[in-house]
Amino acid sequence: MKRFIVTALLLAIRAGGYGQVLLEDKDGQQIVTNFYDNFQRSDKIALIKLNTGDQSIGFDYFTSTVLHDPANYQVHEFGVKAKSTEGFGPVFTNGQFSPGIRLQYSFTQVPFLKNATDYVDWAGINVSYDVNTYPMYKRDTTFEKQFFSKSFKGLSIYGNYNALIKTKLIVNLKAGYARLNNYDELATVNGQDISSMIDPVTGIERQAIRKQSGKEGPFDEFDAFPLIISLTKATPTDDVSTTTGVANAKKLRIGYTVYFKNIVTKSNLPNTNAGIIFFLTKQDKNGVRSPVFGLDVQAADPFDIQKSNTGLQNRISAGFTTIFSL
Amino acid sequence: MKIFDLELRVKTFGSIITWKVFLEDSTNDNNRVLDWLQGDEYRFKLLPGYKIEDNTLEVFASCHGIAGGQIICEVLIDGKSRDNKVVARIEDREYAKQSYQINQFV
Repeated sequence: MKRFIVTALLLAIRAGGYGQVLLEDKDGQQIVTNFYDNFQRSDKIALIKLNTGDQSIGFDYFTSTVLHDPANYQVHEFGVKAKSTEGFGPVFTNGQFSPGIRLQYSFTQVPFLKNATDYVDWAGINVSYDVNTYPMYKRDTTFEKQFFSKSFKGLSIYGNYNALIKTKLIVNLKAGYARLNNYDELATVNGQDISSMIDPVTGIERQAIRKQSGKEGPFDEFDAFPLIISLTKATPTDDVSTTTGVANAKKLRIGYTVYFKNIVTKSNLPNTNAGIIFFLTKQDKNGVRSPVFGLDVQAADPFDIQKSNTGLQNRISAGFTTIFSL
Repeated sequence: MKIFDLELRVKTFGSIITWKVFLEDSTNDNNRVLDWLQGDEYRFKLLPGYKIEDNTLEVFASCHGIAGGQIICEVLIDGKSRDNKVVARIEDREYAKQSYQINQFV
């Protein structure tokens, strides 16, 4: 399904620069984990993350041991993310809200193996737990049970390895286990309950319409083994001690992240996604370039491994992603 | 031997991931400065009654991160800031170094 989501972003609370890149892909998966430069100004960071791709809002809190040793420290991240599992369309049209929440913890060691001019790395583990409620529809059952809710609980554990190479390129490798489901692949059914009454005095007929939606089809949960590889071209800091540098520091610079996601399961064909996130960065007074926003273009199953034969252009989707510091 | 109150103030510019500051000897990891305190604009380390054997204090610094970044280490001896700051750039392949004569203050 070809989709292009453009949602107004809350460009409100941006106080100070945090994050060279902290971007998520269209499915809400954190692709790049390379914001540890920010711990050089504070050992604790709080962030709000908005993603129009999976229509979520998240809050992250980071604490680190960087004050003890700025050349060898650990970072703990605590995160919570909330969304409507059906997106916000049904919330606005039907008043129907199906909550989904993700609790997340991660531990990262900086550096991990090497700390040199041409190569600095960091690595860690990430554990998250999803609790989602999904509205479903089943036509071959009694009328009052046709629309119902399905709950899902899924644990994910990832390991990640990241390296900054030659001071500009960031490589990320992420792999692990995730409990997933096929909800996004099911077809949406929109229902209308119409009740009528006639006023015996005036003879006017009144109809009350209640709308609801759900997804139809076999709901499957399964064990999956995702692998994510990404390469980011970071945007360099402009030296403000020169006239040229001052002028360049005011400019927005373009960086990008190319990523490849592959999810292997026992029962289904591999689910592959490839994408690119373009992001614009702005330099703050501390010389840190932070993304103003990112545009994510993702091709689902670019090699048509699932044999859908729908044409690549129909499997491309896009969304905006950004972060705000508190 | 010279004894004086030493304060180091480190300010980062750009995306710095790791940095190090050494006193006297950059080849000895025991001379690396740890346990910094967070100020509003910089990180600082107070070393009251710091001792050196000769008349010269040497300060080394290095940093790693995204291109264009640097750290600036300001040295205060007996509460007075010295003009020559240690500036280490990400692109540097060796430690940035500054020497400070102590005898004029004691």
